[in-house]
Amino acid sequence: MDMKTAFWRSLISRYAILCALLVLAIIISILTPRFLLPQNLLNVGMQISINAIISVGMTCVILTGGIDLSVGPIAALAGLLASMFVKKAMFDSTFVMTSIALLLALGVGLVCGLFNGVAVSKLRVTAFITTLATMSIIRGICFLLTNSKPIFGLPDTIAWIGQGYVGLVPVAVIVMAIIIISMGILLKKTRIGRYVYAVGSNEEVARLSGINTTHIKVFVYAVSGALSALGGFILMSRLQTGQPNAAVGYELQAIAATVVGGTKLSGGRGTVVGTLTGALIIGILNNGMSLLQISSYWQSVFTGVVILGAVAFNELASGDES
Amino acid sequence: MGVPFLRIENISKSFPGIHALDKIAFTIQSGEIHALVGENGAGKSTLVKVIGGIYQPDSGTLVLEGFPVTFSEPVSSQKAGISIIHQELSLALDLNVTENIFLGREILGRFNLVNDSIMVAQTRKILSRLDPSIEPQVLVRFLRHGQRQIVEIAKALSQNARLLILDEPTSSLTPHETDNLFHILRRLKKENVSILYISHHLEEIFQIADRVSILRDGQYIGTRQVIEVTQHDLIQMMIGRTLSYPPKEKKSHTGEIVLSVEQISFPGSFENISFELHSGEILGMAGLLGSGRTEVVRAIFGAELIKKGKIFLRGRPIFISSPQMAVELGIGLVPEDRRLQGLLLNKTIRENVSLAFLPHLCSLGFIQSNQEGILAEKMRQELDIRCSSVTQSTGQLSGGNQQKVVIAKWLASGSDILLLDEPTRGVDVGAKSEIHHLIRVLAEKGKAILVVSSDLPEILSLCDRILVMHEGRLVGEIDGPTATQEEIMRMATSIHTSTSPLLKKGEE
Ligand SMILES: Nc1ncnc2c1ncn2[C@@H]1O[C@H](COP(=O)(O)OP(=O)(O)OP(=O)(O)O)[C@@H](O)[C@H]1O
Ligand SMILES: [Mg+2]
Repeated sequence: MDMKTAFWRSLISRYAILCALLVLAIIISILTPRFLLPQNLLNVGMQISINAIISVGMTCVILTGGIDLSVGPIAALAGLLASMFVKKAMFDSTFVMTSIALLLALGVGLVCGLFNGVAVSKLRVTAFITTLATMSIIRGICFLLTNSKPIFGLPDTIAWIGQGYVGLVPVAVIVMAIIIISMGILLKKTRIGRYVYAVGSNEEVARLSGINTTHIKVFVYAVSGALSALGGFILMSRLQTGQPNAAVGYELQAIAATVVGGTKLSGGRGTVVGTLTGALIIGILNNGMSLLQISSYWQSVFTGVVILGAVAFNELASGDES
Repeated sequence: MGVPFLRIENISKSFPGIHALDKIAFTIQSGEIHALVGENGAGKSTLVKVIGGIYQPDSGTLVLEGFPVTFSEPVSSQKAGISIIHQELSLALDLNVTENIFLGREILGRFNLVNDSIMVAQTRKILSRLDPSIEPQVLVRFLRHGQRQIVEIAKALSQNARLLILDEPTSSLTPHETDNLFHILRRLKKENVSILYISHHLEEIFQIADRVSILRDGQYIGTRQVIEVTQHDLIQMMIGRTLSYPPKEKKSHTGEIVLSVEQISFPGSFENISFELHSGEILGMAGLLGSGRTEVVRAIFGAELIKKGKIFLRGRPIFISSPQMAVELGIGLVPEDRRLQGLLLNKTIRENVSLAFLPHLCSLGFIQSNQEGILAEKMRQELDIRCSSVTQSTGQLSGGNQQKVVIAKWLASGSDILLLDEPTRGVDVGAKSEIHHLIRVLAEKGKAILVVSSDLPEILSLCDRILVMHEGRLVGEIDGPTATQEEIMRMATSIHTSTSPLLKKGEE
């Protein structure tokens, strides 16, 4: 292979998934021109924002070679506790109250994530088992806390993050952008980010390089917990309801966005931007199919096909590096 | 001579941006031991992989006993009677020695069930000729690198191949095991088996080979009868110029004691080890495979925790509980297995070189990437790492160049105490003398260096003082400048440990 083919191969492998996104967008806009209306595009942004935020945390975990199945229940618990707090709090409809509720949600997510991280790195239970267990535990707690009844009647101020706009742009989209940019910088430019990749590439090599692999693992699960909580808070705010069965199946969506975005489940490779692309692909697909009034059963089938196709395509495009 | 066993006809193979093989053509006769030499990155392993059906050549053909063949997969090459010991070991860590040796060729007994007892017996028989200390039913995970190498050799030998290819089989064997291997190779030769033998230990070529072919930068330079050439000629053909060895620099003055270990033990690996390491000193550690050398340095580095004994750092007692702590205390370890312990294979040279030094390359937690680039570039030049650029991923480098990256990583780390476990394994002659030079320079700057090596000439030319281990115990200490290979080997193989000179503390 000469330099020129090599150059094109590298270009294609780097931007393969972006190309896939473009192709998908073009196809859908041909099939249904309504797709390109600004209102619809912002709508898509709004729809994917929660999944994208949670997926960023998932990406961090997967980069270390782990997995976090508990993101959905953490999101639900965080949203629930925040809504219960708002409901109880007497000094209603103030900015302060919303902030405290948000902090409370993030704190809960952080604690859950820390628990996952410590169990995985100290107790050496595999990530899959640990988070499968916490997934079940936390979901149970959600139902216990509420007697499995949703929490209604929340004040309008709580709805700003989930439903509000700054100018033309939904607040949730802005939050998503901030998270993606800051986590992207963290992973690519800082020491801790470099160590995340090192642990996922080869944990023993990382350990023998003097890296505290325990800290790194605890860190990624904590990030995942906190971002899940943020996602859960936005969800609660959008629905203006706290629901114990919120965010069911979110872990699968987040894993899907992450792997479609080119992150390797074995760890060590992937980017936050890739994950955003993955979330967009899945989001645009769903939006397009809804616009085309395809039944939700078929939507599910197509989404699965696209996930499989995208990952296979990624694998092909990234070349034969075995 | 009749039809050659294998004729390599104008084989070419390219990777993105590099011609790894450019029209290589030579023949391997039946019953011949044919050596293949060349610098790191010359294309030796690539050629082996083409013969083994792992890579497809871009052009050219292989002619087996007069018939052109295409090996589209490793299996087809194996079926043609070719068996390969690859440079990078490829054993399944969680299978035992026997299961690895018979993988894919299990012997079946009644009801088509795997007949373990026969396989274990056969394994024991093969190993008895190589290294009887290896138990057939031990998981490969629990073997050291050198022992794994022996298992690879046993596996290849058990296949009754007609062409046996060995890609640096002795890179972490001591002279003792190497002799055993040569013995077996000579016998196979009598049985008319052809052997292609790759090594950077040129003296081995003269001991064992009939003919030698030379590659340089993917080009075929020529084939010679071994008796017609000297080591000097080989080196000249390999690197295209003559190599001037830097004079043996021996110095006797060393500084204060930086590291001293007292009676440290790890049951099953080593016992009651005591020695001192001075600043400015290069201390060697010799011994057979499995004598516990690697375990000692790993314990000092905190990779394994000692069960008894004390470690003093600059006079202060200290318990090193993790590699992280060791690195923070200024201790570095070049581990014995570059692929499993040394390198992030999917990351770039640059990211690997800076990994242990990252805290010093950061400001406010942000990596200063221009400084990182400068560091990587400097190390690339100093160690002559052959690559397209420092942003190439290390998995794509040749074995010797990967090893250089691991050394670069720890030379760059700024550690005061460097523990080097087989530092030049798989590195070519030129680069090896360059690395030796760098190690000496570091010692002159006052760093304390401990070198574990199976390569006795390396230990002899490098070290001020040599410790010899045998079955987990220190059995002697020799002064570097006066030591001889025979003396070291005698101690390392000594059966009567109790009568051998015990190490006296503080002896200078
Ligand atoms: N998979 C790959 N992708 C890209 N380049 C490769 C790959 N494998 C080998 N190369 C390049 O091909 C060249 C020859 O490598 P090869 O491994 O054959 O060298 P070698 O002679 O075996 O060296 P050493 O003595 O260090 O083992 C090197 O420049 C190497 O970087
Ligand atoms: Mg090689």
